[in-house]
Amino acid sequence: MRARIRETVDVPQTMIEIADLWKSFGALPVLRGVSLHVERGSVVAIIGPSGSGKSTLLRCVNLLEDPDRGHIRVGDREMRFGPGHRNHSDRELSAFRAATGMVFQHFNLFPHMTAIGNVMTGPSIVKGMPRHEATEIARALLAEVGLADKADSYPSQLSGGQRQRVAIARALAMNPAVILCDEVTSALDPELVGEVLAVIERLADQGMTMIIVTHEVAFAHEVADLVAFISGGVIVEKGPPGQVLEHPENPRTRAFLARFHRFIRSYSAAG
Amino acid sequence: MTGTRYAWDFSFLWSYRGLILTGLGVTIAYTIGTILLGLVVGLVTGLLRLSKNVLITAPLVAYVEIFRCTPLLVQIVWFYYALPVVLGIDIPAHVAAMMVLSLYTGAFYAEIIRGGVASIERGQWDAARAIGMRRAQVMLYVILPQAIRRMIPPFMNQSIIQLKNTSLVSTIAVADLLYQGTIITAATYRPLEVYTMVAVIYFLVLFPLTLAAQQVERRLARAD
Repeated sequence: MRARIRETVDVPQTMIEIADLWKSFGALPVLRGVSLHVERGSVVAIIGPSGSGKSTLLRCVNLLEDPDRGHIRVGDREMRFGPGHRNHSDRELSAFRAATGMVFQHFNLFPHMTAIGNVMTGPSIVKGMPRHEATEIARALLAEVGLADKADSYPSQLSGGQRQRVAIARALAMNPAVILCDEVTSALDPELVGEVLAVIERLADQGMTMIIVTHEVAFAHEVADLVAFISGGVIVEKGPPGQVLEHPENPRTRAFLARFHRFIRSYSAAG
Repeated sequence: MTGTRYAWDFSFLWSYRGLILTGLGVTIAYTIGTILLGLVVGLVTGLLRLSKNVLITAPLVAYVEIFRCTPLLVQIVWFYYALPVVLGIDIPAHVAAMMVLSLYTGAFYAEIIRGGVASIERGQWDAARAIGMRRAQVMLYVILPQAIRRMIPPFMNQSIIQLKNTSLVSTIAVADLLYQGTIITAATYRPLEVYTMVAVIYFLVLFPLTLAAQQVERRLARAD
């Protein structure tokens, strides 16, 4: 466990609240009643086999997917879905998403904008911030992710790791209440994974509330306060990383982590 | 070769230069006018075609396919002779010509625009929406700037074809280049020279344009 600088809050506050979330794609159920609380300033890592609904869960939290049923709260914004609840307008959905940062597996940078253009487009277009102010914020954020000198580069001129750091800066530029990371290192060459994880870890240290979907079990162990194992569209086990990752109780979690554990054992034996 | 040797003589055409230039002017005016109108039609149709609402898309698909799948010549004749009967109003030739050519090329533009927008990866929508952009903002700031680059080559091709398409308006007596050609032919009985000249003029206008289009296409490919 790492020491962490936390914001001092009077009452421990739940920053993200997901309750009984359901989502199907056509006849295929992907989420089947997921509930999860994320405390302010904490990091929740979601692990699980591919196709288990991890990414869909994240995409539902910032409403890129429209949940069939359930309740999502991020900060003081709340949305209810399902029978008896009205459809949300484009304006409401956009406002909700603006407060919920997201970083994607494939970066999804805007290729026709420079790095700084990517970062400042949110503040300037969505928030209507004056250009020089947005530029200033974007410059500071690029510096924070170690890319001050790449401000005028286009995404095609950047490495995967640099692109992902620009994408993180772009999400931060909206000053979101939380950040959602969707397998942010899965598309990277192994030698570039570290620089991105370092940025994520620093955000966690600064007290950013995050949900991280990841295949990097070691990183989840390192950075998360809570690990949730999702399988078949439900959270089958959750708890502190030491518990879930080292002593999983559920057979599905055990099966999933078996390979990782073999690796750890051989690694410790060799060491 | 057997038969009489034809004595080519282009010199008489010089005395018709005024008529020829007027005709070329009309051809170019129709080309530019119908490209602009067609662009408006195509933009509206192409973007609305992206809607998920079948009540919106179905009539637009019908429009696009009707105009893409019938000959332009038939459309011109139909709009000039049949539509006035259907509507019970008089449609002047130049209005019918402008309307049909715009709708015709608009149908192709609509497909180019729809295809261009649809070709942008879903991740771009995701990222733009994730920072809180509203639908129109995503389109304006993220999707269209990228899509337009992909639309430019097919758009240039269609517009070059459009200049040739305008020649069909001569069938309803709109005084374009080809129509003036037929007038001169009727006066001089020298169709071979006249139509050769007409072909050469079309070529002289279009060939530089196709070269320019290739140049633009190459530059876009390099920038990608």
